[in-house]
Formats: sequence, C-alpha cells, structure tokens
Amino acid sequence: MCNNNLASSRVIRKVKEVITKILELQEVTKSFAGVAAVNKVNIYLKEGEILAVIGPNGAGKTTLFNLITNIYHLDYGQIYFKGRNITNYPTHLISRLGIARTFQNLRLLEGLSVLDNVFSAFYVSMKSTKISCLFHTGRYKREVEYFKQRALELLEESGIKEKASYEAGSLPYADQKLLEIARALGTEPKVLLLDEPTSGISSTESEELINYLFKLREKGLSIIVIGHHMRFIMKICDRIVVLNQGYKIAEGTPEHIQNDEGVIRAYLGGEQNV
Amino acid sequence: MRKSFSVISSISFGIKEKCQLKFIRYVILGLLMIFFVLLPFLLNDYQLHIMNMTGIFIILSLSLDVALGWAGLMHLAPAAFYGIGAYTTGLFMLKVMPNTWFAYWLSLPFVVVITGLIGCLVAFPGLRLRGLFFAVATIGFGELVFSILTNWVGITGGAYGLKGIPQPSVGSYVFDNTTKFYYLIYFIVIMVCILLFRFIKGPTGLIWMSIREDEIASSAIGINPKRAKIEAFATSAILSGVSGWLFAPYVSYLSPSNFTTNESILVLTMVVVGGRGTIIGPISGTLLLLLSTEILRPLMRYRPLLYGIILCVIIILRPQGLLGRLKK
Repeated sequence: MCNNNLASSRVIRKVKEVITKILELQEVTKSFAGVAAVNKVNIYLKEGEILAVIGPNGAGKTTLFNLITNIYHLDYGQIYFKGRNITNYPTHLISRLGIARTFQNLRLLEGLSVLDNVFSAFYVSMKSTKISCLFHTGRYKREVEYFKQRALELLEESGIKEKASYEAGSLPYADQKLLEIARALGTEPKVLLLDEPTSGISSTESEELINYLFKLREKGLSIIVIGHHMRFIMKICDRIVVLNQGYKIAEGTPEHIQNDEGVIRAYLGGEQNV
Repeated sequence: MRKSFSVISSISFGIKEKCQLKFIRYVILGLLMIFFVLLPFLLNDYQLHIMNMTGIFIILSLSLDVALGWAGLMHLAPAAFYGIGAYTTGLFMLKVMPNTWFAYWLSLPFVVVITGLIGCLVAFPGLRLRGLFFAVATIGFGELVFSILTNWVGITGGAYGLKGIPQPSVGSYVFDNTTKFYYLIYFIVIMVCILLFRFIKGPTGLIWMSIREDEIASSAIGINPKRAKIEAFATSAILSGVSGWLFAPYVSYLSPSNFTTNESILVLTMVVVGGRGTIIGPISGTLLLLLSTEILRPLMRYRPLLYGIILCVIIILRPQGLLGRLKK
C-alpha cells in the first residue's frame, strides 16, 4: 500500500515535470564548417521561470536562440515546446506558437515609428481581410484602433509611450532595447528569449529592466535571458546554464554556479576540462 | 530623436493641428481636382494624348513601386504584366466577346485574375532568389513574355500586333475621343491611388515595409516572409495589368514592341527619380519624365542630352528621389 502510494506520487511528479517544462532542448547540435557551435546541449525551461544562459564569447549562446527559433537549422537533436516537437517548424510558425525573441544587435524597423514597430507584431492576430482593408469597413477600423491601443499599452508598460511617434532608429539605445521587448510581447508569447538585454545600458536602466522582467514573469511568462552582466543575471534568474565552446558545463542555482570550479575556470582561464 | 511618418496613424499631431492640416490638405486636393477636370479644355489633342499616356504610366509606376519601394523586391518586368493585361483585354474584346459593349468592363476581372495568378506563379519559384538575382530572373520573364507575344502568331498576331480593338462604351455612350479617355483614365488613376493609399497605410503596407527592412525580424514576429513577398509581387502584377487594361482600347492597336524590357527600365527610372516607397513619388517621377520629353522638344537633338543631365542631377542631389522621404 505504502509502496503503491509512493509509486503514484512519483508518476504524478513525473507528469508534473513534463507539464511544467514549457520548452525543452534535447541534444541540440549545430556546427559551422565542422566547428561545433553548440554541441549536444540539453536545456529545459520551466513555466514561469527565468533561466539565464551565460558563457564566454563564442560559447554558442546566441546560436542557441537561433536554433530555437529555427533561423539556423539544427544538425541534430529535438526541440519541444509544451510537449510538441517543433524541431523543423519555420520561424514564423514558432513565433505564432508563442516563442518570441529579441536580437543581440537589435533588428528594429528603423525607418518606421515606434508605434508601427509594435503594431507590426499584431499583424498575425488581426482578423480582417485585405479586402476589408481596401474598403475601410467598420470592423477593420475598429480592429486597427483596438490593436493600436494594445500597442500603446505595451509601450506604456515598457515606459516609452511618450516616444511612440518617433522614428525607431533615432531612439537612444536603451529605449530601442525596450522597444524590441515590447514588440516581442506583441506576439503574445509564452516564452520570451532575450538576447543580451543589458548590453550597452546603464545600471539604473538595468534596474528598471529587472523590475520589468519580474512584472512579466508575474504575468506567467517564462523567460530565457542571455547576459554578460553578472550582477544583473544573478539578481533576476532562478536558474543558470553555463555554456563554454558549445558545451554545457554547468547548470544550477546562482549560488551553485558562483562556486562551480568548471565555470570559474571557463571564465578566468586555466586548464580546459570539458 | 526624429519624428517619424507613422503608418498606422499620425498621433504625433494635436487635434487642432490635425484638423488644420486636414483642411489644408482638402483645399489643395480640391484645387488639384478642379485643375484636372478643366485640363482638357486648356490642352490640344496631342497634349491631352500625352496626359493620357502619363496617366497610364502613373499606374504602371505605382505598380512597380509596390514591389520595389514597399516590399523591396527588385522587380524589373512591370512591362511584361502591362503587356499581359493589355493583350488579355484585347483578346477578350476581339475573340471572346466581340461586338458587345460590356466586354471591356467584363475583361477587368479577367485581367486582375490572370495577372495576379501569373504574378504568383513567377514569384513563387522566383523569390527563392534574392536581390539582383531576382532582378535578373524578372528580366528573363519580361523577355519570355515579349517573345511569346512576338511568336505566338495564331493568338497574339505576332509582330504585326493586335489590330482593331474597339473603343469601350457604356450602352450607346462610346469613349471615342481623347477627352473622354482622359476622364476614364484619370478616374482609374484616382481609384488606384485611393486603394493603394489605404493598403499602404494599413497593416499590409506595414508588413511589406517590415519585410523590406528586415526579413529575419519580421519572421520572428510571426510574419511569413515568403507569403508577404508573393502578395506584394502579385499586387504589383495586378496593378500593371490594370494599366494594360486602360492602354489596350486607348491605342486600339497592340504590338509586342510596347512591352519590352526598355519600357520596364523607363518605369524603373520613373520610380527611382520620383522616390521609392511613397505614392506621390512615382507620380511625380512619371510626370517629370514624360512631360519633360515634351517640354524639351524644341531643343531638337540636344533633348536626350539635357534629359540625361536632368536625371543625373536629380539622382545626385536627391538620391531618395524627387519627392522621396528624407532618409538619414
């Protein structure tokens, strides 16, 4: 009897684990011209969790994001999103399923206004057809107005609402970063992939960013964040994955990672031991 | 920071400014309207003919601008779709429904469907290529259409062309002189401008622009770049077809030599000189190029020289085009 209970609780735990793993990467591998940029990496992301991926330059962090969103095609491995195999889905379908990302080097529509940038993310959720757009039907106008308000709300949350009519490319760098996050949120994602959100912004601005990310997590978003800025990373994340030269060398809580010898060696140099 | 031309709405203006701006815009539009309505009474028949051709070319250059300026596709065969549209209209009026007054109006949906389909058929495999490679592929398509028009004698009349396309009419009212055509053509031009304006200022135009600016970023927000590009190319093809639809009965004689790559290059020049990615740009480019050849006519053989100099000066001084948007 006692045994039975134990077994069933184990099953429940197992099931729970599967459910809570919103994104799972199994042995993902990608090599460029024979050099493995990412090598048999296993990573999972739980629901409502902030996971940090850190590592020295060239560790394969950004490649990992490009593999998840299928901008690069996997050589080997599987990617699961909510238990669904999304390994070879095209980029736009992955985004529609609910994985949004930002880019390290910012990919905004620079010539367009800030509002247009966010609005473009709503395109997929718009229902009115092109014909109704041609004839400016009432439904079309209402829909545009609705999504414009939504876009303004997103801008307000990220604190750049008053700059909505400016050209995106002319914003200060930190605001462009926020704008990119706002645009990613426009696709109504379940998982947000942030590539170096802190690079090139000041410490007060990164404080604001931390509060913003916590707010997003409260809303039920799961976030993977790549970063160099250790103080920032240690503050926000629940779990850290360390990559080095394409291999995962450590995984665990921030405290655990801070004391991990392999990690210290990877960062400060020393004998390679992978 | 710079204020931007917003696509979705001009929230940058206050209500009062907005109203004033709207009022001024309406006044200017009204004056332009009156000018265009009165124009046939001011011009002689030949000058009016030039205006009519300008109208047809305005639609053609707008159609190229959809692909080139908004979606960023190097489309160099607008004349091919122009030709397909014109021949479809001509053949429909001569062979499918001869001697009926509504044949002309009925041929418009056919033109739209046929050019749209062929546009999709070209874009679907063609857009695996990018940039200049796609440009070369479209030139190839233009040549293909030209040689089909020249060599398929049984249907198109070959190099002799398609003769005797009847004038369009509504019941017993026949569009039989340049003035009547003038009103017809410019009515269509205005319709095309309004529809295009709505398209461009709506989500679709925004998506085309985002594809032009950054394909990877667009696909990361869920836009299917391939589909958006095919849609833009097909829209461009349809508009080219519509200008062919106007051209066919106007000249009543179609010859393959009207639809060569040279025509495409001329249209390309109009778009680039006028300003890509706007509506007023291609219109101004077309007006400048077609009217300047006429205005410079007294200069006789120095005309091409001056024409070339004008183009060079515009491209050097305003690389974004005569009325193009200011870029950084």
